[in-house]
Amino acid sequence: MAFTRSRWQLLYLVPVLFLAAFYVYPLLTIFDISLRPEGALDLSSFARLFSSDFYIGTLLFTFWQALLSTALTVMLALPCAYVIARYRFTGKSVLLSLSILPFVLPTVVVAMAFMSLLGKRGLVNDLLATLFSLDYSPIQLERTLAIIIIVHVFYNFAIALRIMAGYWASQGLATEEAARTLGANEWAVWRDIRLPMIKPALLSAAVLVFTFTFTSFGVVLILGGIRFATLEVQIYYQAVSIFNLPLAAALSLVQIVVMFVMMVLYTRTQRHVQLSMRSSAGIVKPIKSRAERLLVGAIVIFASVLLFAPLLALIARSLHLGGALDLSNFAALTEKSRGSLLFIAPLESVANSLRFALIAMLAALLLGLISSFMIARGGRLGRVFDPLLMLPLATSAVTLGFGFIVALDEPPLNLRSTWLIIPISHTLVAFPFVVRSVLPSLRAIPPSVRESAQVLGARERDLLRTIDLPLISRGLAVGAAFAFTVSMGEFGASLFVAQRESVTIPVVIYRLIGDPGLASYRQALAMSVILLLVCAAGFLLIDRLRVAGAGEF
Amino acid sequence: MLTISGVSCAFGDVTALDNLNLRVEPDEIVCLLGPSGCGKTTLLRIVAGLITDFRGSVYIAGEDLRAVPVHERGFGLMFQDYALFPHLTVSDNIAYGLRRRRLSKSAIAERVGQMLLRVGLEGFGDRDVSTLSGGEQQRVALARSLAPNPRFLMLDEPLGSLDALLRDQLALELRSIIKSAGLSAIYVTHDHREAYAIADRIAVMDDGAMAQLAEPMRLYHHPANETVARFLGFSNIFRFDENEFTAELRGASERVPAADDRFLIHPEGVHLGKCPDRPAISTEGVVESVVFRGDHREIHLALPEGMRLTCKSADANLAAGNRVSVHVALDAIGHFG
Repeated sequence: MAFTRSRWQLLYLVPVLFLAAFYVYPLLTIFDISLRPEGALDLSSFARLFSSDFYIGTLLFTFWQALLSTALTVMLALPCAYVIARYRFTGKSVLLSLSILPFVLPTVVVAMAFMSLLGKRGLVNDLLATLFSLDYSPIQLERTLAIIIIVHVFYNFAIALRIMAGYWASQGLATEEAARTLGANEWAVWRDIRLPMIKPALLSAAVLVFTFTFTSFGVVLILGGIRFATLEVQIYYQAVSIFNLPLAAALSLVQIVVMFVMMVLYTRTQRHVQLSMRSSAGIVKPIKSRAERLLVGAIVIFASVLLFAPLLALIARSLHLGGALDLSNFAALTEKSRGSLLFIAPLESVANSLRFALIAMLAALLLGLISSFMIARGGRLGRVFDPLLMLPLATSAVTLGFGFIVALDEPPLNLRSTWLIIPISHTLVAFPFVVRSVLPSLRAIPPSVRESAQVLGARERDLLRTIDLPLISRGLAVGAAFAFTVSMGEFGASLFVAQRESVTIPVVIYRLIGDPGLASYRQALAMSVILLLVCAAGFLLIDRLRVAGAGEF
Repeated sequence: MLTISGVSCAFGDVTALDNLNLRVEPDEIVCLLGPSGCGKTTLLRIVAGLITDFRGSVYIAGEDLRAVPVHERGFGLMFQDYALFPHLTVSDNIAYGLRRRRLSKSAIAERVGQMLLRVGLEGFGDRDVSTLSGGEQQRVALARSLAPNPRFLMLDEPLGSLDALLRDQLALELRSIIKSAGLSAIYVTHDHREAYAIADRIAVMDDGAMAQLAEPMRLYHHPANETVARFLGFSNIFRFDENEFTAELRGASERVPAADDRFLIHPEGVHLGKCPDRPAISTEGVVESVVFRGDHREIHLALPEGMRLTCKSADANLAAGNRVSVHVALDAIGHFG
């Protein structure tokens, strides 16, 4: 038995080698370029970075917009979380499960959606112009900080909401009631009980939202332009437009350091939150008074508008709504528009994306499955591997993409010119998701169940086939759906590694937005809707398969 | 049948088993009885083959089990939490071990039918195990471990997670099913009443060692030492040289024990008021408290010289503060060792 077991453990090498080749090696290459651009230790890039007002400004702006986004998101999510956690109302469960939708929506789609809603040619401007007979667009949000912040709220509102509502729901009412019997009024209950109580979850949500918005790339690149460059966008410009690799590498290094600090903070705050989520009391009350009805109604409407208005606007715009309803935008996808920088017709990228997503999904499933077993059953090895596995999630997609093009363009790993580099980069981003989906169900299998099977005559491989795999199949399916949608929507890394014929849908949308002319813009709309539908399908699948509380998302 | 000899096992610095010996005869049910942490489950897991890192040896019918991996031992093991396969139906759970033995489909179906009948779950075959009650799950677990005709059966606190009422009923059923299958078994429990009901012999374990191995009756009347007696729920434990009354009890014993020997007074051998028609030593006492236990009353007595004695009584008129005459029957005295 000892022999067969150690033979199985050889499989653990697969994810380890994968991470070494496609995560550690590219990252080390970035370090090397930033610290030793000419082969000797040379910190001039950093000196430039920290002596230039421009780069300091970039850094400060990155912090500032993340801070602003985080504060606004958490402030808006807090009252909603309270209502979700404490009141019973129709549509609550639908609202809660829909709230995970932004999580799987690609940045390019969301950027397009907000342009359709609030942009110069957006729905709201059209409406206002018609209503008040204006001959200009009253709302000028394109290329402003405001629209970046709004989109960040859209993305992160639901995450903050879920964390805080989940935590709140797990807390009983006893302390509140005790405070009331001691003479606390509603205001005092908020100040002395509820807010201090929600603090751990609030902090955890804030750290997570800050992390996400600090590394926001697609949204800032598309909606902000160079005027509002964050670190991520600056890395991209330096690496791709100006080709200043040492500086891009130095910026990446700063990015990596900040991200790791945030990850450490997040794990710290999360520990408290997770612990108390276990003991779920789940006290909800029906809506009674008129004021309560008003509050709940307002919050439901706010959340729904935030979530759906942009997506509906996107669909409406893509269908020429307002004029006549037609599908000409979609029909136009089979050809390149004149003047476009694309090498292929937009629709061909759909085939690319599907192919890459399928490969990335299968690879992520394989790696994720092995990694999950390693973490759950690998003893000390697994405990070491667990946090390491979260590193790709804590590294921004742009850094990963940048690492890929600087590290994998020469032997021993010369993948730069093959399309394989795209699904590989997607696998790196997607497989930690598979692990997070599979691990809880794998850990939930009681040792006695496997031992029972052993006593009844099951060998190691029978255990895998008859016990482990059936019991984690649901988590595996969720992981697969996550991996697929993540790959379909991946933008940051793809922008670096996807070349010419092998471009994916998000990259094509980005290029189309950049192209001059209305034809390209319409194609971008249609492509965004296609991507939205694919990701929504992925979301529906995930939502169907998720058992309440079984996943780690 | 099963021979365990010189088995020792440690987890890190903690000794779980220390040079343990035990023989289980054919058709015999041996209960491993002891507080949690005494090593009884460890012993069970060694026999099952789930723990391979131990010293000593385990033989079954003369065959050394050391090199036989767990899945080839052909034993049955029933877990406290039943460890049913949550993704399989009742029938598929029971069929699991049969499938591993590559039996034909028809043979498996027939055997599963037999087992369902034997444990009283006819018609439950297609049910999801999560829809079953605790007692029903326990029957499925039993059927599953019996289905492949195991050479030897092990049960790890199989009634531990059931309520008291169900426990008494199922203990008897378990014994009769095991006996009718003609099996030898090791049965782990921490409940002495359950052990009395099920076991042919009881092995009381204490701190990784065997404290006493005896038939239930003998164990009850003659616990080997104070630890065993206390574990069996006895509280009337004294030293012969404690006071005049205990010295008198010593004097009346058939073979006179040492003065500083400890001994036990079985509560049912203590009579209040009227003197029993068997040899007894009498004294006076005061009722300290009366605890109503349903079918009897538990009386806590204060005897002269600070001696405290517990006994049972059916007398509803006894109340705290009453003076009573106390008669301790000589055959109620349990000598240790």
